[in-house]
Amino acid sequence: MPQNMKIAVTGGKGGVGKSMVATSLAVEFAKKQRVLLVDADAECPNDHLLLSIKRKKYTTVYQPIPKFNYKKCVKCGKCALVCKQNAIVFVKGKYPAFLKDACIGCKVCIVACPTGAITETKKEIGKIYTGHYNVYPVKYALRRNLRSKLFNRVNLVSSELKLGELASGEVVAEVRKYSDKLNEKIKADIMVIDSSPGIGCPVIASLVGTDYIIGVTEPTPSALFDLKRVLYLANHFKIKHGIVINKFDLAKNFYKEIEKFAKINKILILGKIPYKKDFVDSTIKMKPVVEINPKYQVLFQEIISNINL
Amino acid sequence: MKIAISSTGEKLTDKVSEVFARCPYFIIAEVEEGKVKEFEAIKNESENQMSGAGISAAQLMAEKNVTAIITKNIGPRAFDVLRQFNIKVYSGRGKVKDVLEDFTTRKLEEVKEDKCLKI
Repeated sequence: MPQNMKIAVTGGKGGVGKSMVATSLAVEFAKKQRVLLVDADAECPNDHLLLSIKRKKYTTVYQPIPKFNYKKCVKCGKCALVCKQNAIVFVKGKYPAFLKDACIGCKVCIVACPTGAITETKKEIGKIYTGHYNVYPVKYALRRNLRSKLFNRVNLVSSELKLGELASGEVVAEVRKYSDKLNEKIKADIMVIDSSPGIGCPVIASLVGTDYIIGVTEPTPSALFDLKRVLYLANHFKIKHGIVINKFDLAKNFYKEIEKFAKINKILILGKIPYKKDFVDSTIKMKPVVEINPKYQVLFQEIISNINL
Repeated sequence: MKIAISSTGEKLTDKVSEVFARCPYFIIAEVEEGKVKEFEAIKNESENQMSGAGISAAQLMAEKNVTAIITKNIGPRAFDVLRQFNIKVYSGRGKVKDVLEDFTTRKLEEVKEDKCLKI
């Protein structure tokens, strides 16, 4: 596997196990390599909860917004007229009112203002957190005195959209930028990017510039439908991809449908994960499933070895 | 001074609406020396607006030059716009005429911040 590889974990449908696969893979990768896990689900980031990571605030993500100087304002209302978001409210004879949370930062009001009464300032749209999870190489797992020196780390960068803000795509794009910057220090061999469900702006921001896409799915018609849509994106960006079928034993007949789909489209099935109580325990106990039951290590190592570039 | 009430109907005997921006009618009353001198009911055009009803309704209040509004609940955006136009928000429930009387006798409580869930 080449150095500095970026793997995105996505899938289209929610609840198929993207974060479970992303965190488990990150933990397995960390046994041999340096890993950076990027939680790019800015709307509902959960990776830190799956790995019991206490995050620390790293930076704040801002977006430009206008600032009004009423001394220069002639109450012409042009700013409100050009604002497509209706974030500026103008009533004749009064100074314009501005709604911070409706603004998307297009700056057109600044251009439209004839008196230069509008300048640029910024608002917070999200935060970026960092943290890490310690992974003990198997052979030292029982020797407590050696642990502190010999662990590997899963470094986590986590994004979080401010409530009520619209720009989740921007926050994801920012977290990707910061991850690249942080990686100059960490020098991770593998970057695992955990995307949000869907196929929209935040997902595209998670997929661009990656070397490989893992589409996580489950044997249900809705999951396959959504998987097809997200793999369309993978094809569009010409990024190599494979699929992981989670909970494959829940519907054996439909599992065959997914196999058929993969065969026809020549998509590699990287691995299949059974539906077991261990995975529920893993979420509740906030520990990776490979730590709840080490027998799953083989499963995720197999997925890793199947990723072909 | 001019007071606007979010109302369920066009009459003073109708009830104050549960919501501000999506109420069916606004009753705008001219209050002088503690008495309602005259009033008009205006249909709220933003009642069924897809989005931004709060902004439009608050804009209407500023256009009508009201000093204060009375409603039961108000959203954060409407509240923000009203605040910027120096329009006060009072919370009231029951019949419009009773609420107006409570307002003139200063029995209504002013809403100083929008009450949304803080995380």
